[in-house]
This record gives sequence, C-alpha cells and structure tokens, in this order.
Amino acid sequence: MPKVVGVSPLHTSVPDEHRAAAGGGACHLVACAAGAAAEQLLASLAHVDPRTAQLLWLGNALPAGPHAPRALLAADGGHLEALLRDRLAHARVGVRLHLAGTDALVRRLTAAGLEAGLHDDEIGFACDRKQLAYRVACVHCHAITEPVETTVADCAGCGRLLLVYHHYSRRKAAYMGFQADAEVRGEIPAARPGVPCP
Amino acid sequence: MTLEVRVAAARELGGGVRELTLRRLGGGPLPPFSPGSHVVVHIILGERRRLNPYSLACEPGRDDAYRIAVRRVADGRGGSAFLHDEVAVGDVLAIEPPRNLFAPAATARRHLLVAGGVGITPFVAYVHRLARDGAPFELHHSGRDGTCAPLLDELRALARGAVHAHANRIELLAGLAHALPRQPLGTHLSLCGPAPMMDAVGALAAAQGWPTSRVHVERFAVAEGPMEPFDAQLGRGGPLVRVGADETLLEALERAGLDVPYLCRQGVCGECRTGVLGGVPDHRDVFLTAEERATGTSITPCVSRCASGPLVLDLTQEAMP
Repeated sequence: MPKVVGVSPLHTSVPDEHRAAAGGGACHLVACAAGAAAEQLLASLAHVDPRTAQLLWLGNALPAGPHAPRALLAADGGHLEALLRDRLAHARVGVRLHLAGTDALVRRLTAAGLEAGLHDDEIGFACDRKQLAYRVACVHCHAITEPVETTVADCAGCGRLLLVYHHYSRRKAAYMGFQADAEVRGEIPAARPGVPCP
Repeated sequence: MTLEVRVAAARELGGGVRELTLRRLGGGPLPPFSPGSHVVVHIILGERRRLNPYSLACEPGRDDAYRIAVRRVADGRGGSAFLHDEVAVGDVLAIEPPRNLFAPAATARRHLLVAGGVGITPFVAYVHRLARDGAPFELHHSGRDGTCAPLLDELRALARGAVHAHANRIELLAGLAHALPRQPLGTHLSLCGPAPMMDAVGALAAAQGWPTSRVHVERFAVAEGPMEPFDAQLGRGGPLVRVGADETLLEALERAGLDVPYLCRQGVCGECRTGVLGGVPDHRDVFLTAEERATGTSITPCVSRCASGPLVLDLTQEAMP
C-alpha cells in the first residue's frame, strides 16, 4: 500500500498490491505474467480442480503445476488481455478471476474484468512490483497518456501540462490528471517521481 | 408525517392474501416511489397501535393509486387480521410515505428475481420497471394454493417467458439449480420470501460460486421466537415500561410517549438502534453484526427483545419526551 494520509485505506480508490478473490468460486480464470507473484498465485490455487480452471500465461515457458496442461500461451500483454476478454465474454456468474504480473498489467486486466461485469470481490490479484510507469486519464480531453513516470506530465491528447492526482479509476486503469496550474496560472507544482499519493 | 388514504378496492389474491388499492383522501397525486419501496400502515387496535410495513405491489411511476398485498398471519399480533376482516372499501387508513430498503441493484446488467409466496410483492414494481425498460430479467416464484396468482398473471402479461411459476419450494430449487449456473456476468440475484426459502436459495447460490455482493435479500417476519413479556427501564433509575407478549419493545416505547426514530420496523435498517446500559438483549434483527451483538450495548427495539431483564435503555438523547 502507498502511504495514505487522511484517506481511509478501506475506501480509497488507490489500488492494493495484493488481494484474494472471495472464496467458493465454481470456476477460475487465471491470467498471469511469469514472475514471483504468478508463482505464489499458482501455489495458492494448487487445490483448485484443474478441470474448473483455465490458465492464460505470458512467459517463455509454462509453469509447473496442475494447471499447466490446459494453459494457453500469450505472446505479449495485449494478447493476454485479448485471450482474457474472449473467455470473459462467455463466462457465467460463479467464476473468479485471478491475476498476477506487473502492477500495470494487473490493472489493465482488472479493468477488463470489471467491464465484463465482474465485481471487485470476484477478482483477486498480486503485483510483482508497484508500477513505475502508469496510465493517466486527462479530465480535459479524456485521452490516456502512458507511460507516465512523474506526477507532472504532458497530456498525449491535448498537450496540456497535467498534474497527476491520487484519484484512481479502476474502470480506466488510470490516475486522474488535470491542468497543472489550474489553481494559480503559471504556478506549476514540483514533479515527484513514482505513483501519485496524497 | 402520515398520508390519509381511502381504500378504493379490495380483492382476494389466493392463499390468504388480500390486496388493497389505496387512493389519496380528497384526491390528488400520491408521492412517487421506486421499485422495492414499502409503506408503513398505521393500524389502531384499541389502545395498541400496529405499524406494519407492506411493499408497494404496483406500477412505479403512477401516482393515482398504491396497491399493497397483505397475508393473513394466523398467530400474528392482529395487524394483518384487521386489514383482512375489519377494513372495507371506503375506509380511511393512515400510511407513511414510501421508503425503499430494497431498491434494484443499479449496476446490474440482468436480474434474477426469486420470490416465495407473498414475497412476490416488491417484484411487481420491479417487473413493471424492468419490462418497460427492456432490461433482461427472469422471475421465479413458488407458492402453494395459487398464492398471488393474479399478480403472476399481471407480470406474465408484461413479460411472457420471463416469469416462471413453481408449485412448491422443491420445484423452485430445481428450477434455480438449472438457472443459477447459466447467468451471464453482471447478473444480480434478489430474494424475497420466508426465511427458510431464502436460506435455501442463498445456500444454492453460494454453492454455485455467487459472492454475497451479487445477492440481495428482502426479509419479512424477521422476529421469530417466543414473545415473552419483559420490563424495559428508560435510562438508569428511569421509569419502567412493561413490554407485553403481544407488542414489540418499539411499540411499548411509543406507547410510553417516546419518539424513537424508525424506518423498516423489521430489524433490517438499524434506524431505531438504541443503546443498552443494563440487562441482556435477545437480538432478533439482521442489522447488528456479531461483534455488536456480543457487546450487548445496543438493540434494535423493533424486533429484538430481552433475555435477562430489566433492559436498561440509553435514552438520554433525542428520544426522551
């Protein structure tokens, strides 16, 4: 968790790095990029009947374990997301989505799950590392700018200099950005590296 | 605040359910309401007052009449019997304006509605609204003896093919065992009916992987268990109020002149939650958490009673007259 001051950790929209899905799922979609988080996630799912699970895997070699035989290999992050969206389109209530990989990948796949109609408690995830490069949604032109690595950045859509705010949209998998000198014209806050936090 | 309404029509819906159509006394529009709303009907039984909540079982958006459906509770406390036996067309009743504790899930992309017996009532307004909007849904109802058959006919006319009537609970559960695993993502399950039926459907859904965030429950007749009389004390050293076997603690407090805020009067909303300074509450609500119950420091007087008295209530604030 980023340090949150004056914001309830239970209600902030700034995402966690790790959360388990609600128990009792009837079937499971598992989308991972190879890494320590993925290994831990697969270990936690070892008890799940392989016939009820579909693994979508981004990496050079398939992982060991009971879910490998039915795994589908993705060529890159976009392919992994496409494979997941295809499965979600035919999914039924009762499914759980389990995600692991970099923060940026997990957020994108989470957004795909929410768009398909999943609830937050039906999605579990584990992030390998807090994202260093994140997405920013411009409130003026609605364009998404990525990758962004500091809290003041140019908008890829309208060119405004944006202040990145710690308001996170799970739907867009992006932080909110607005004109950096909106309060006092010409007064630009100092840029900080890393994820915006209060 | 209450509204005065005239009983404009009455009909039997089967299974011991009587429908009353209510219009505003002196004419004029009734307040608008959303699907899942209820009104509280004030019933005067001699010196006792019953405030019974009933779902509005009619088309939302119309302001000329409300319809409620009242099931006769054989061993009840007289409120439903009064509405069956004493109230006639032309009589005037006092009701409180509609409130909603069971609104349709706003983000649902599809609704699976499950009703038992007279529990069909909130879904009448649901189906009117969903059918008007062309929103996908299916309704399953179980009821013996043709309970509420006219309401089911009304809903079938709105959305033929989406209304499934089952003769009993076993057939209902068989139908749901088929339907639950086939719901697309984004579906919400809403339940209204007797507690055993809702428990059974809830267990079936949980076994199919439905998380609690997708399941919504409208309870009625929460207060179960023996109705023993007990004493409640209005603050430490305050006067004692005898709570009779035929009334709730909330009713006894109101009889004593206290103005306790309330909404649902069935242990759901927590509006009437009152502090407890002494005695052991017998919690019968579904509002307090297990931890809150364990501390024994508050009670919902609309349904909960007393395990060991006298129950000393913390009425130091606004409720005192």
